[in-house]
Amino acid sequence: MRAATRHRSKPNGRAGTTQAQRPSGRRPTAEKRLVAGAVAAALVIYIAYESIQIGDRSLLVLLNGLTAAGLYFLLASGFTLVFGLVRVTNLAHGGIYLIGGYISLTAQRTTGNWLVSATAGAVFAAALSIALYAVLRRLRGDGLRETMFTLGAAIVIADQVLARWGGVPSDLDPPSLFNGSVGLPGSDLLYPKFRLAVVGLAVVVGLSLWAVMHRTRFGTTIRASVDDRDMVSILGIRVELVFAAAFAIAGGLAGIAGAAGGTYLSLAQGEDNRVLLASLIVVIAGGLGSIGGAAAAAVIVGLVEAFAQTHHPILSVLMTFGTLVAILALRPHGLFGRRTDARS
Amino acid sequence: MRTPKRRALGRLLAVLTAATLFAAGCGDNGDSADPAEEPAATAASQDAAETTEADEAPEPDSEPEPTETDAEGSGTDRIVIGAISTLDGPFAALGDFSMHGVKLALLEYGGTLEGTATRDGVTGASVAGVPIELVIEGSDATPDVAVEATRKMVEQDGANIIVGPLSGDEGLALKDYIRELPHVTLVNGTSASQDLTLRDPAANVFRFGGDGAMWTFGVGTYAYEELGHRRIATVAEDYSYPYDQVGAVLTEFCALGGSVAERIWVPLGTQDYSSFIAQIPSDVDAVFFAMGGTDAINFVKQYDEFTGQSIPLIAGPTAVDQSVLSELGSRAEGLISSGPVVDDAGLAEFDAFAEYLDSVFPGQTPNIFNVYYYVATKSALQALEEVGGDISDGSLAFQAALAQQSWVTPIGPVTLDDNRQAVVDMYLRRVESGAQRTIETLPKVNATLGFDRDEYVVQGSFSRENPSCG
Amino acid sequence: MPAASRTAAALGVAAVSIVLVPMLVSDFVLLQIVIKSLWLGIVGAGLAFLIGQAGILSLAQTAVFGASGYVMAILVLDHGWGTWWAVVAALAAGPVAGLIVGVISRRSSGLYLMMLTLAIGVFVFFFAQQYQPITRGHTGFNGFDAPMLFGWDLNERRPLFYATAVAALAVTALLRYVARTPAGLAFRGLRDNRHRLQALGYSAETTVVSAFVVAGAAAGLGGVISVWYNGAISPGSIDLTRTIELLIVIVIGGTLRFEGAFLGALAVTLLRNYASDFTNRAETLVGVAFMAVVLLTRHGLTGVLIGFLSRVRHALRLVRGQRPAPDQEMAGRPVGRPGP
Repeated sequence: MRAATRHRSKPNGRAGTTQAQRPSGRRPTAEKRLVAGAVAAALVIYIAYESIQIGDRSLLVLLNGLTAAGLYFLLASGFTLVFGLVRVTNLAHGGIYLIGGYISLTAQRTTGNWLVSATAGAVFAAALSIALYAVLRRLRGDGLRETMFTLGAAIVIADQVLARWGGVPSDLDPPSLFNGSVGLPGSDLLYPKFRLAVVGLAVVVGLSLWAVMHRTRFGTTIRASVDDRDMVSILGIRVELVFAAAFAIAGGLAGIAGAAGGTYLSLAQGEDNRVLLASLIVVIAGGLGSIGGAAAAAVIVGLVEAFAQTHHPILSVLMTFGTLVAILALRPHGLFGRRTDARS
Repeated sequence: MRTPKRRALGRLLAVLTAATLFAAGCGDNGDSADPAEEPAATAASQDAAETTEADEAPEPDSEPEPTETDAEGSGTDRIVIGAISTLDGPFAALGDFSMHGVKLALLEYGGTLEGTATRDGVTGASVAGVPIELVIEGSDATPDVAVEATRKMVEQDGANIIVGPLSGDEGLALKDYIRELPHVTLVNGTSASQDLTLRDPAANVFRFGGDGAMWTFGVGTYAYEELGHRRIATVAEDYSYPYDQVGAVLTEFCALGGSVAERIWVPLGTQDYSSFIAQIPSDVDAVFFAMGGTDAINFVKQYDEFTGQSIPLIAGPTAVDQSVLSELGSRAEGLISSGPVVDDAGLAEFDAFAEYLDSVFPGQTPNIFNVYYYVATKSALQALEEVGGDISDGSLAFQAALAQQSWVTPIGPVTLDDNRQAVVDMYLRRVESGAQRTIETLPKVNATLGFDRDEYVVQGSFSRENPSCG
Repeated sequence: MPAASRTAAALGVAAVSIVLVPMLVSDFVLLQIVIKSLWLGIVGAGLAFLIGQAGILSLAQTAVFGASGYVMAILVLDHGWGTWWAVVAALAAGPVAGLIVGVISRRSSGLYLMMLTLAIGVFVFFFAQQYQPITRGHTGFNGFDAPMLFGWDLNERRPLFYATAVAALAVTALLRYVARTPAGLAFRGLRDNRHRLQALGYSAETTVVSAFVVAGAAAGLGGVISVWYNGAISPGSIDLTRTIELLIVIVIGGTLRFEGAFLGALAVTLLRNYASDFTNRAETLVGVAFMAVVLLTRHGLTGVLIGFLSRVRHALRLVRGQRPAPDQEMAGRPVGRPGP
């Protein structure tokens, strides 16, 4: 709402608020390190405690947490990128995940190749994401209406997926390289190779994002746009293209996540809302707009979830949300968040 | 300050007026809007609108739909069947299957399909010369929506018979609603809650199939006696339907002397079962799992990946229902379960049904949903035939005839007990080559699983802890 | 027309509507369209107030509403309370739940607050679903009988309609009253500029919490009536689908005037009941209609309606040869929101 008001009164007046936020926007690195250290310490203590309770299957649960974290990161990193850059809370993100997964499924049934299929899903999801942005541009500056529009899109996508693919749950076959399971040392249980691949995929995506952001001109533009997009546009850079690229990246990552999730979990009606919720939690905990925060929060949420499910199955869902509330009580804008919301 | 205030008041006024107009509009326009769409539905809604409006005007106290509705004419000029299933949300596929069953039954009575979509009805069906109309509404598996959808069919479309719903808690909510309307009859679809009929039954609620516990009958005994299991773990979704399944298994298993090492309840909405699988003790003889649809696919796949099925699985009835069997693929091979539908029942009725289903809805095979909705609808139609399509006595004769229904369904003979709950055959079955093969037919399973009714009912509903199992 | 007589006129129209509506519509429409829209509108009005006045987009309103409904159901069905005592407790539970949500999210704002309250709302849903000792888990509470009021049985439709209509008027009056108090001014201050509000000596955090309490009061009332209406409450009554539905109500109704929530509720209720008669893809229709409203209007149906009415009024004055009054010239613009 505030955006609407301000937008009307000062169409290009980001500067005032941006300046007001500067002091908290640029946190001293020492504080960041402190937060990171404290979080890591708390997490290690928690895992150690739970591991003693659980015993010989702790490694398995740890891996489960990391797998979940991998999927959450693929979803949350794009989500948070779009938010940081365009100030849009894309509630259709779950729908894009689902449709990306289903496109991959169809592609796999045609081609039989997982990688080709996942690429097809990602490309389609990226295209859909760009299309969404093209419409959203009409609402520029009104965060509430943009968010509501994405909600409408989410409803339509879910229903169209139902119409096109039906309600019968389904899944993709893993690529032959990652088919099957490996034994875990010290445990009677196995671990599916594909889940390990998901962790690897998330790490690769995370590193690539970091490299793009910090080592390329494109990344510099994005980071500059996050800080002050008016300034960037004054410099003659076409901000719309940067934004569209952000949407494409977010959509593509959601599409890949859909293919991955559709492989080690399954695709079905309702999954869109589940993953949307999961990515929202991760994004809030990590701090809106912070990719590093999304990574940290994905690991925290994934691990807490996995250990809570093992130790307190019935109330595990509440534990996840409890963690979120605890984080926000200590850091109202998430682990590595800036007060970005004040500008939205 | 005055300006906005005054304008706002005007606005409040405008909104209220608009609300009145809108509300009035839909009362009156109910029949004027309809002709625009399908001619078949027109008559239905017109009549409904007329009856409801006629009823409601002289009556300040609102009995939702008085029995006098049909008494005005001699006999009955048409009968409306309202079918409800989950057409939206995560269970939408099951809604499709259910409606196939309803429509098949109506086609046998001279109907023709209006179209191929789920909500497309059947026209032209009749029983004893009385035309039968079909209205279809969907829910999203929540009780609130199920009641609203049913209320619309009964009060707006004039439905005399309701077929459905799909899920347990919806069934309980509909029982509360239908109980107040003695002239309307609910013939359950696949709602498997025990208490739809077991405790506090309603006179106009009928179930021609098993409940969650009955579907699981026999598997506990089989596990103990034939498979030699002595100690098992259970993994199930955390709500009443899986409680009934786990409860039925443990009731038998523990009565024989078996024990349960761990009951793992998975919150609804979980996709990743890996951390629940990690809780299964490594020294149990078998794992019983009870879940449906997506959850079953996720669980079986992950159990296979994480354990290589080193501990054998025993399945709940819907976890390996034919509706998900093809998606489970080879991982489901060899799974033992109990349930109402097998693919080799050897009944002529089953083969005929399967062939008929495939001819009308190509590619569809019998599963619990299309069979149960078919049996429910056909039972109602047969009873209607017996009373000559006459429900003008407030459906009393029809309901009496329905309670006496005894026929061989595609999945075996059915009769009803005093609570209007079916006594039906169940099958111990094993998945072989993607189909359910009979191990043993369990004849005439009743709602108390063969235990004494008074003792059984007193134990209370199954829950996370009930039965205690020693 | 002076304000007092306008109020009288509005109340008169409301009274006439209350008398006429049950005569004009069928019992079915009275219950499932009118009463449903009214209680959904009551809950929505609280949220629209929160958004329109205080600039707080909360997605926890469904949870607050559920808290009140659950309190009533639990006290009556599990603890044997008299229904009216339970109603009192439930009406109190609304603002209290609002207070808790407010305290948790008092330091957030904007889209961040939206997501935080969504997390709270989902937490409450999962709590209702998982914590069986209190909430009876997934099945929830069935078979709740509405009480008698002045000898009228609220299980019957007309009495329930009268009670709901009066409740809707009461909520409207309450919210209008609050908007005029200094607290209402502070809410608008919070919406327009949090920092300036603080500079004026107000506590932004207290203001946020107060706004949640006010919205919670409306949600509490709606929660009570919804349990009478459904005769039941379960996690399915407060899940994400219901949260989204309430958002649709708000957006279609518009937040310029919180009264728009009633209009939005009516539109959504009509869509939910009748869309499936016309199309097999009712959800797509709802979604597309929703997107169209968002894209084409700034303030939902209320905005359209207000713009239309002011144009009519303007035209009427011209026809009568009067000079447009100054306030009519502003009519097309949002009211109660200071310009730059």
